[in-house]
Amino acid sequence: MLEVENLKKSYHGQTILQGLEFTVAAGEMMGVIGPNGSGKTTLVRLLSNETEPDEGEVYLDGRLISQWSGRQRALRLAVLPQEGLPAVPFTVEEVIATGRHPHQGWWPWSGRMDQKVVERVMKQTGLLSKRDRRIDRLSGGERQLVALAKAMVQEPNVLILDEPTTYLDIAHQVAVLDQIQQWRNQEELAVLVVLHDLNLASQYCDRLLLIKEGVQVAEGTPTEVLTAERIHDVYGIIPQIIRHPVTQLPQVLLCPSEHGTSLESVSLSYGILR
Amino acid sequence: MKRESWLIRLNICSGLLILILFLVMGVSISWGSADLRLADVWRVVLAHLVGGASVDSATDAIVWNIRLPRVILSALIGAALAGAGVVFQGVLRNPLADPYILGVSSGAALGAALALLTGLGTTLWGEWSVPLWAFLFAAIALFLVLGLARRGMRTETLILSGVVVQAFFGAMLMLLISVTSAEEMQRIQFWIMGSVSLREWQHIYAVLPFFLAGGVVVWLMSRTLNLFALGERYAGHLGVSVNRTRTWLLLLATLMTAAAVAVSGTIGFVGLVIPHMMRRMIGPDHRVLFPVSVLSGAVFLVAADTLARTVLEPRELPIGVVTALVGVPFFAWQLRRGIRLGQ
Repeated sequence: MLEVENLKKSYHGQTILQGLEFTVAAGEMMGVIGPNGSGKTTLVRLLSNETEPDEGEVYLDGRLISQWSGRQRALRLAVLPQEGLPAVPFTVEEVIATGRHPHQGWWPWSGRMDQKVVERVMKQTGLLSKRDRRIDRLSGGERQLVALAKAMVQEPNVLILDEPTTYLDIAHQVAVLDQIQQWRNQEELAVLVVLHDLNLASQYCDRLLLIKEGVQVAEGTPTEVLTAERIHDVYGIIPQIIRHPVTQLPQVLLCPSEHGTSLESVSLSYGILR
Repeated sequence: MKRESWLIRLNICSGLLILILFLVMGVSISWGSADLRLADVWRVVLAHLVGGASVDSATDAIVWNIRLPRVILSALIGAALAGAGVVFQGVLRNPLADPYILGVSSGAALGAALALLTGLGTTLWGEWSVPLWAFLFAAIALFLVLGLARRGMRTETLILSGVVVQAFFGAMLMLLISVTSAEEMQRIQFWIMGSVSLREWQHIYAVLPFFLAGGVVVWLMSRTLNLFALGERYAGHLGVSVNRTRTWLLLLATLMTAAAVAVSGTIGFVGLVIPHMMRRMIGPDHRVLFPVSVLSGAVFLVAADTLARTVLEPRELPIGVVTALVGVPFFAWQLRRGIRLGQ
């Protein structure tokens, strides 16, 4: 479980994040949304103890994150950064097995348990048949799945992902997010995921955190957070918001400016749908 | 449960390489300027190893006190330089990093020359004084290079920083040599070019502990090296304390380099060429790559030394010339090819 209290961070006198306050409970999936440069990646760095906040605290499983040793932290928290896996010619299995590192001692070989977990996760993620493929020869989507599998063998309580679906085709976007959701359901995982795609965020996340210029604008269920007024306020565009026919969750439709939709008409149609 | 595939690969490759190493070493001691019969050479070796009748004392001395130490030392130096190259390339995520190009060797050379000419610290550390001074100066060179290249550690900046540091330490070395006597000068000059001639058993004892310590510890850290190859953030997310581990690994590589330079001068390009070739052949997993590179480095240098002393018989080439003749074209080719780790 992840708790954040009054988080503040600035670089070179410029405030990046201010007054963030939220909790991600076990079994919960929290989405972080907001425009480019709103401080989402800085938030990920703070939550994974890569940088220290100027003010405020981050608690991981009830203890200040900086007080865990590196290894103890890695046993509880897995992070998938934005840049994904580099194109190094390791095989799929080798990369996935690196996730066991915090569970292993100082000797180079891995234990029976490690191999068992790696085997199980490869089966779950459908990567068993690709275990000997080199990751620099995989597509972006497959590589992201490998990165996720590596986080799974780490067996953490908390998972943080920074834009895991950017650059992926729609099939892989769904595959990656489905995998995360399934894992969350099975293991009571607390997930914090930064997403650009508001519609995916709405479909997959229990709660959303909307950030603008480092300040928390809204926090709540997708229905509470994704209103036309708020999206206009944060992103400066005028969206159409409809209900997803199956899940009933809000979906954001974009409209070229030349159609000249006004905010009033949008609110009106949104009100009718409601 | 299936056995780990890297362990199988390691066993097969290292078994094969050990065989090749013994073969090359056998050829190397059988071959030399003194005209000895092959049977006599091996009778001497057997006599020392398992007992039995040796041949005359002159032959015995040539084989046991001149050829054998030289061959063993070449193997050790090749192993140390190739091992150091693997670590530098892995930690810095830079395919062109090697002790010679980074200027670490030139730092070690200055330290070693200082110790050799002045005899400083000999009372305290005995025969370990030269390797220790070499290590001290090599570490200074290393931190200078890393300090200069600080931003992003890009390949080009790293190489340029290496050039700067190498120029500085090279100049200091020349300064040191120019104030010594003519006789000393010639001896040092040959040593700078890299040479394993006139080495004795005591040289092996002086550097063996450094090689062993460095090699064993690095191999035990080889899984962490794999994480570095996947990125420093990646390693950090898996609980590795990145700064501390990086410093440790670089210092171990520097220690191995310094010990090698202390006995043989600066032999370039072994640490560049060997890890590269091995990575292409067996992949980037350092648990296999490190030991296999160490063994191949040994094979390579023994072969290079054999060439160095037979090509222009009875004259002897500095071994650094032979490795440079192999390494420079390779380096140029790598530079042109564009620069990506593990390709």
